[in-house]
Amino acid sequence: MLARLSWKQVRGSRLLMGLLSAAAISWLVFAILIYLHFNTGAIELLNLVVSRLVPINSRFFLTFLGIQAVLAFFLVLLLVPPVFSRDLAHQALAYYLSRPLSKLEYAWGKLAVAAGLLSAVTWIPGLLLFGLQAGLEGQGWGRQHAHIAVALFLGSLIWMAVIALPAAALSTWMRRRLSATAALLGWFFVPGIIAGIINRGLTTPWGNLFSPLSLARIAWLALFQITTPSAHPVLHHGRMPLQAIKPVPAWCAYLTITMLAAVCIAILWRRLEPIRGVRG
Amino acid sequence: MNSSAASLTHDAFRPQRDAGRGFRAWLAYEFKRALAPRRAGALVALALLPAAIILLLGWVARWHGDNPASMLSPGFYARLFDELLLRTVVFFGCAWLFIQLVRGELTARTLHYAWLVPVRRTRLGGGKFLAGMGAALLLFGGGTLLSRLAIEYMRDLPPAGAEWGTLGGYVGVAALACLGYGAVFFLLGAGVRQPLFPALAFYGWEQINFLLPPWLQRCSIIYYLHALHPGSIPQHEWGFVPPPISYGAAIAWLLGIGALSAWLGVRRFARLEISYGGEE
Repeated sequence: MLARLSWKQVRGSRLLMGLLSAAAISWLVFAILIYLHFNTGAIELLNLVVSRLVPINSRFFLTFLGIQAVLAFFLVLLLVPPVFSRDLAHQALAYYLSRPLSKLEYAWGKLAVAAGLLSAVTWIPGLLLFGLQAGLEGQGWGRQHAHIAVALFLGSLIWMAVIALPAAALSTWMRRRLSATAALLGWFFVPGIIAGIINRGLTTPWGNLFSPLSLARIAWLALFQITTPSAHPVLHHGRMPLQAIKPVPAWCAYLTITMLAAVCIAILWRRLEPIRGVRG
Repeated sequence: MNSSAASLTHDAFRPQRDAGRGFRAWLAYEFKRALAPRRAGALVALALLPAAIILLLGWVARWHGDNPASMLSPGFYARLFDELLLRTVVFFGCAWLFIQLVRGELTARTLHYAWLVPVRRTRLGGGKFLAGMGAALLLFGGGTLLSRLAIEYMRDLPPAGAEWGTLGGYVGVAALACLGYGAVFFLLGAGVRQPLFPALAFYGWEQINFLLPPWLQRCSIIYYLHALHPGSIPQHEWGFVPPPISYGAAIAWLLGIGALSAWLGVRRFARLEISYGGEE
């Protein structure tokens, strides 16, 4: 019921339709790129050389996930703050929780629409693309590259944890849509800049642990089994260049993301109180 | 009634004098409101962020046995000032502070109280903007000053005469950034129902400024701030070289953009019709 109500609140938004359309167009472009590899008629008609087409590999699917992740962030910005802030700003939580409904069920009900739409723009189209490629290529391509399918699914879940859980926690904390959206924007942009300064200042990659974007990127690279090319270890002003330094291990990123998710869930749990003290 | 008492009574009821007193009271009220602990906590943290990062980097370098002076060079500070202070702290801080001035009152459903104040609406709007500017100058000008002092402290070098001049330059550029960004966000807060999405677009525009052709680079605030930057910041490898501009012209443009945006924002505020429906 909660999910249905949340969906009713957002379904009329033109911005939402625009974002979903953009996600669909992006998927279509990638599907066409895959299809072109196998349609000899189209290749001849367009005068294309197969070897010059974009190769269909882990990087191809990672690029797709990266583009969809940006759209997913905008979806979260649009969907998550209003569903919580409306109830909290109007003191409506007590009415919900006076029914046979636990806090967990309430939170899940409110987040279900966001989770559904995020899935619809991230891992579901990603797996459809993977299926299209596996089907067209045949010869056990799907089985040989199963890690890509796993990476698309897990990478999307990681991204949801990195953006949707902080969005829910900030929305319940701030209690106003405007403040929550602003805080979410800050959460998305500011830590990355801090991480860059720490990395440059100390010539270390560990600053990336401060940035949710970098955390997700490290996790994705590990899941897609992509290794970043490292530069030659030439000293630059007496220091190693950043590219030459060993990147942060993936397990550190997984651990930080898990801790981040735990903190967000704890905040959500703490702030979803049906009755709060009245300030004097 | 003696003559002095008569003149006092006469003065006390002069409408212009009452309006002036009302405006000053309004200004003081808005200034205190902008810096109220519940509102300004995040802003204070944001303003102190650069100084905190410098101290953290310096202490970590000392802990590693390095000399912080080699890392915290003037070039490092120039880049930190550009990336962290101007583009992040001042930008997001002004966005938060100035959008909340009007839009925050609409979401809290308290704007009608402001309109009960016996002061003309244009003056109320002007007072709001000036109070926001005062708060921004105090927070971000102070934050710039503290960050510069933090770097001198970590370098263990007493600032020489020329460095005090540079310090003044940095604080001045931060103040002009507060004016430019603050006025634009005040206009957005007063004129747009969902100001965060245009603010996000504005952030993107400011970030990609170096990629724009030279004539288009002039249509941004960061271009003029870079022209006034007291340090040297590295040019992007694949960007356009910004067209040269004199200090005087850059200051005049920033003052002009600030004054025009603030004037438009005040006009929009004065004509605002209260409609709390849909504000959350």
